[in-house]
Amino acid sequence: MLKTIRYYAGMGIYYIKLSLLGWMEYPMNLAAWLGTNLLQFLVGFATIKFVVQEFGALNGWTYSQIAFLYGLAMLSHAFSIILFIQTWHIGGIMLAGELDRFLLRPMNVLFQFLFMDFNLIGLTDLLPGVIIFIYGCMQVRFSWTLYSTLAIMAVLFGATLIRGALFMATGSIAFWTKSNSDFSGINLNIMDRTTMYPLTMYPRIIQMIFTFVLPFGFISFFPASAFLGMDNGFSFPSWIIWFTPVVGIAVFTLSCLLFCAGLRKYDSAGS
Amino acid sequence: MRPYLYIAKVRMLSALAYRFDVLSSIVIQCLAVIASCFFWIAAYGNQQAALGVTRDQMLTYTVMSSTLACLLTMNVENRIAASVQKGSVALDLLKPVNIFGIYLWEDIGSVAIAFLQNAVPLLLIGALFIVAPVPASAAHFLLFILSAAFSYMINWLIAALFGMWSFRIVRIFPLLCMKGHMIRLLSGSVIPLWFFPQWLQTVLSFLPFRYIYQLPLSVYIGILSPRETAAQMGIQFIWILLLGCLFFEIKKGVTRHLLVQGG
Repeated sequence: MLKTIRYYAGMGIYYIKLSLLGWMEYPMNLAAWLGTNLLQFLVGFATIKFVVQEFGALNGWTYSQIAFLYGLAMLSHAFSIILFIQTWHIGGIMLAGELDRFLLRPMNVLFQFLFMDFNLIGLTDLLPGVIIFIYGCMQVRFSWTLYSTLAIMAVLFGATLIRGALFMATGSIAFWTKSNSDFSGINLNIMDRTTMYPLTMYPRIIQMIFTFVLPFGFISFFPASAFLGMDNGFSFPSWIIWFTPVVGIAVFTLSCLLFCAGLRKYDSAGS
Repeated sequence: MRPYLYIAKVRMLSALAYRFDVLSSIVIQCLAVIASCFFWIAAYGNQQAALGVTRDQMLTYTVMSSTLACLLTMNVENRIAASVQKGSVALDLLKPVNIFGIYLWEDIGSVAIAFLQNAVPLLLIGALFIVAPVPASAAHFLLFILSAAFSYMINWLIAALFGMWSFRIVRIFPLLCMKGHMIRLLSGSVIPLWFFPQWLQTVLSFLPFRYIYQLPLSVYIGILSPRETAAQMGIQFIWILLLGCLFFEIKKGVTRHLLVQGG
């Protein structure tokens, strides 16, 4: 048992090293992506800065509070891009016959799949995310204690898993359709819209959907509300923060089960 | 003309062949426009107007901006990049039609399809759930159509100019993303520029971007005086001429020094 864990950990580190070396081959590409992502966040941030400041508040959230919410959402977005980008292309990987190679190796397929691509480009999302989060924390005078630091880490952990679970679940559909359909556009769009602004700006039914069906409220809105003690017509108890990692682990496990179910059904694309 | 019309038709048929892509793009656009409208509704709150624009005008602006965005989807940049990388640009150059003419007419073919596929559902969704996106008057509507056609040319020329970088750079995708974000931010497609600080607005009035979205949309919701409209559409036309000249100059240069790798 211990030997297996050691073996997998060693292989995991090796996989990460390989993909890092691969990305380092093209430094200009990385620089270009950094510029692109910074610009993208500038667009999102300008929306908040100019519009929310003009109107004073958005559903009771001031500009500084939204900056905090936005930063928190950005961070888990960046982590999910770093860790889970390969789940966007399960269909493509399958059609190219890559998956057959995984199946032949003496290792867990899910593990190989999760570690096959450590996406260094995601770091270019992380940098603006960190900047905006720090800025947001300063704006709302976030008090850094041992408890709040642990809570933030738990939230980021859970939120990253929630995002990863969605990518993985929609990607796994390819096992049944055997097509190269790309859901990343829809996924990213929905998550951006539900995590960067207060969820309360949507009608009640949509809020319910993003709490109980697709639990994106736990990515940033519920924790940020609890951290800032926001009154959204009802105030969240502070322990709602700890729901994020729980929900994250739950939905990610579900998506892994879906992946494995798809894998059992899988009988090669014939390439 | 005949070959170009045929190119446009082929493009329309191939656009229809990818059913999933079509469906997902429609879903994304509809969700995005509804979400944006909720954002504006929340921002306006109980306020009736902000900076001289009423809430309903703002919602109309948003719905029409998304509609315009799907009509202004350009493929010329990716098309150039792909054909330079694959080397098929050499074959395109051998054809007895103008290569950029092919790209332009392919894009025009896409507009026709995008209108039926994306713009109509968007307008319906907008009218059903948000606000009926009616123009300020019939005259405003006609001016909007003319101005939007100008926008199309400006947007196409900018896309083509960026696309021509692929004759020099191999990995052009990040550059194109950057251009997309720049246009989104600086053209008033996401946030109207009147929310920007004054100095930034002044800077932007010297750039072509605002004439892609902000101008036709402002005409549509009727917040410009006839004089402003005439003056701005004049500048819009001048931008087409300027970018057009730049385009022909650069085009001469790149096609002369074309180097195809493999192909």
